Amino acid sequence: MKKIFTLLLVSLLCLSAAACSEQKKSGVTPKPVDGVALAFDDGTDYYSVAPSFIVEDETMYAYYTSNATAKKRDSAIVLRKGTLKNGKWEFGKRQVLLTVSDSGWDAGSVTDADVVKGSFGYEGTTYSYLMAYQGCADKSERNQQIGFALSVSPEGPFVKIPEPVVKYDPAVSGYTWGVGQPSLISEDEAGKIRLYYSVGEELYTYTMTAELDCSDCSDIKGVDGAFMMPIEGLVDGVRNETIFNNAGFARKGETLFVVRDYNPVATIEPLVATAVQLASMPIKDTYSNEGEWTVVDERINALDLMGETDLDGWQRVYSSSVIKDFYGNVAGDSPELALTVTSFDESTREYRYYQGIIIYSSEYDA
Amino acid sequence: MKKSIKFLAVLMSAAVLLQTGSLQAAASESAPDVSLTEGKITYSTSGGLFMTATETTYNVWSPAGVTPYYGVALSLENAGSEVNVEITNENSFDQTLRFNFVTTTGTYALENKTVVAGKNTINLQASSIDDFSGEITALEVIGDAFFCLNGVIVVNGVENAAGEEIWTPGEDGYTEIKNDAVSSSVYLVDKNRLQGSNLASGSWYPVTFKTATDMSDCEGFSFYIDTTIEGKDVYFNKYIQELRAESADGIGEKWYAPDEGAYNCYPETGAPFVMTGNLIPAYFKGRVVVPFNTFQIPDWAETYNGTLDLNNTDGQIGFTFDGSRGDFIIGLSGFSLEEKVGVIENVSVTQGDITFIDDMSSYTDSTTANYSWRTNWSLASPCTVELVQNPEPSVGAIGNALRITPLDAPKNPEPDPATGNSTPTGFTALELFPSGGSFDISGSTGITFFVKNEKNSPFYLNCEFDIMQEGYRQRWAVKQYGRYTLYDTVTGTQKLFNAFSGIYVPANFCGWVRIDYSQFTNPSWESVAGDFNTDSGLVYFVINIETLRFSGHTFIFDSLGVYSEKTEVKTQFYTPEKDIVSAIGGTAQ
Repeated sequence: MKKIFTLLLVSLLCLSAAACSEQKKSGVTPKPVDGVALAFDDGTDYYSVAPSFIVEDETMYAYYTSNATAKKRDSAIVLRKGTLKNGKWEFGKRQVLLTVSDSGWDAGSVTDADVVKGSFGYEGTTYSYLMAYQGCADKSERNQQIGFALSVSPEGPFVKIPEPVVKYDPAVSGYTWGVGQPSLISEDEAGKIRLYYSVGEELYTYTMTAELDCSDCSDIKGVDGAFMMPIEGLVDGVRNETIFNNAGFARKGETLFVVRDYNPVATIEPLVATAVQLASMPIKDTYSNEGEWTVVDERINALDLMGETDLDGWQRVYSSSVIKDFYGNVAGDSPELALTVTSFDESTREYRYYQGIIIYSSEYDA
Repeated sequence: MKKSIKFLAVLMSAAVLLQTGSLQAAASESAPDVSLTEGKITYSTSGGLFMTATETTYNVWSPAGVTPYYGVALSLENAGSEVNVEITNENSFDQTLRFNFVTTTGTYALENKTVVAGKNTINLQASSIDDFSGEITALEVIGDAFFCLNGVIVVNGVENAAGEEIWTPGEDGYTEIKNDAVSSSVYLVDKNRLQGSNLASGSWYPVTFKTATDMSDCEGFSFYIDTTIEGKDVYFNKYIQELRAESADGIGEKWYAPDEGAYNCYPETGAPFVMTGNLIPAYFKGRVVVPFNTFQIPDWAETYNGTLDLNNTDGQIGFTFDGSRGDFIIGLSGFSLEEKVGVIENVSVTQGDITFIDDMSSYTDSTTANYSWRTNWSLASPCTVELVQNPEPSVGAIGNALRITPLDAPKNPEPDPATGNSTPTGFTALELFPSGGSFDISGSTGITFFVKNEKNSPFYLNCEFDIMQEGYRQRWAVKQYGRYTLYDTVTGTQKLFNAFSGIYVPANFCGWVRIDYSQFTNPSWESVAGDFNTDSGLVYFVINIETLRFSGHTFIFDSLGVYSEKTEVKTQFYTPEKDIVSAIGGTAQ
């Protein structure tokens, strides 16, 4: 069983003395660490989940979901810029890029963002960066929808398109989770993008893809043509019960990579996945009846994430993405992953603010 | 005369109590043996209701010239509302007969009547029937006709040669049935009863029909068969034995109809079709015509000259039923030799690369549609099947279509006779080919149909079919996560979806569904081995609907067929070599 965390243990395991020192100086309590080191530490006042890490030149843009206000269960899309020093990414301060609207479909939460580069017109301005994010009108995490925001810079400011782009109608599909967890790949390095997203409706949970023409974001084309991504080839813990959701996509040439939650999720809190799975398939096969994934790494779990010290390894691993460039291409020769991980208090099962993000590298044949 | 006839129950007469005046003679063309005189129905001696019986078994058989069923139908005119029928039961024991009034509005069943040994006068009153309406035009007399086989049954039909058969399919190459060797007997082969006698489950049950020993002027034989009673398909061999004086038993070469041999099936309703596999499908009701030229000598039998000498047979054609198929009850009647046996050409309607199994065009109304598309699983909440015109012909399949409406579960369902279970399952199986059929799927790559979800919410249905594997039906169902194409003819979009518990049909979807055979697999319960192949034909198709879950939905189902082209979906970013629109023929029809 996982040992109960103590702050003493956490402090002993802190990998960066300088970082600890900085956090102490700023009054931030570092997150408990249970495996390989976090990419950055928002401290125990902030959760850090659902990463979209994008590399451009020598900079990594780490988009992720966090709370906007310390110790408050709200949500925001946050950015940290990283620079590569001595083979390690060092990240700067967090910048809040997107928060909930005062009213409307995303007044309750904004989460799970991804960003793609291109040429996107909207109300007389041409933007270079398009952010897709998941929004909810309230705190229920039901009837969620996907919206877009645009910017001329990867660091914002992002201008929201008011209405959701991928809508969810509970009258049609039931009062359930909705649509969300968007992942983007550019098709032409201009206005055409592939949007992958999860659907959790009354009948099933699955992943869809929509081929969108966002040259004019006031008239986005292709939403109604969304189709299901293949499931065949993916492997979950229960035979013949594969749930394909919470996935991050990237392409390398004509090959599509996906990292997804390995299901079923843990049966005790935290009720999130204990592993993720990396798989690939030719993009062309997604248009065929016989499209089938090839599993690259069936389970990336605690055993893979024990780190260099005597730790158990992160026992919850979920909500991940393939590190890519702004056009959605795999960054580097082999897919690197940004994984959400968390430790938790054994007695209370509390974990919300322990959630952090790690960078996971392995040598895959890409 | 036939020795086994223990009693003769002849409809001597029927005194018709008139309410409206005199009665006129009115012999129906379809029942030429019946002549009607004032106050009486007189039945000719060759056209009576015959019963054969032993101490424990009996057989009811109707004459040729009446509806081939285990009973007789007597035409009446001005019959009023009350009929007296005189019947002589020459047996020494009582028997039960059922009487139905046939009127201009339908058929009404009267209660069963006991016919005691000797002379009976049966009084039948329309006033005893609730909701009776119409004018009586005929009286059906139906025997309680469970015929219990006990070893080899030989029926000599010669003395029962009643004349013309009314059943004339009229297809090319098919001629009228010969009159001189007709046995219009009807069997109900009840395997349950067989198991109670000297034939165990898994045995082969022989039944033979007497013929002339010289059948050289015939090309085959025919029989009427009804497998609707239990709704299970039936497999049986058919054989001929030659005479050979030199052999110990006097029997020479034995010739069997091989499984690969084709034979013609003429259902009472619907188009005729060709069948193979020595199989009669469940829910078939009609005539089967078997040519002699397909017969072969099996490996285990002696070969002398290797020629089927039809002029030197032992005077019978044998049937051996395969008892390993589980319980079944069939009706088998109207055996006849055929002078000429043609080959039915299955006429298929095509559209682009689609060959339709059922485009629904043959149905004239909901009744005929329900005859072909049967609901099964009595415990399920039912669904209604209506014949409609496709409401959006400009964007879908044109013409007739089925509107299917799942309903709520029955309040107090009858327990399943097999399991005793009375809890509704919530599923309904809607079956095609309940009246028999084999559809050639060679060269095809998958199943397609047109569906319109008339509700603003999704639903799903399961799609399964059977092919033949060495004489046995083998089930194929869409596999979990199997991919299928949805082509919405309204929006023009082409999509790929995954099967979960079935084919997921999105809200308001209207268009074609395509499922490659590669996306089918054998259900876990299927025990018949063998890889999928398109050689033997498709013999059964079913859609399963979770009616309880989707009660209140309605959807249009149409244009079931097979397609030949491998396609990919055409999207904004991808143009394949072949997509569904180009495969269908470049239109959205």
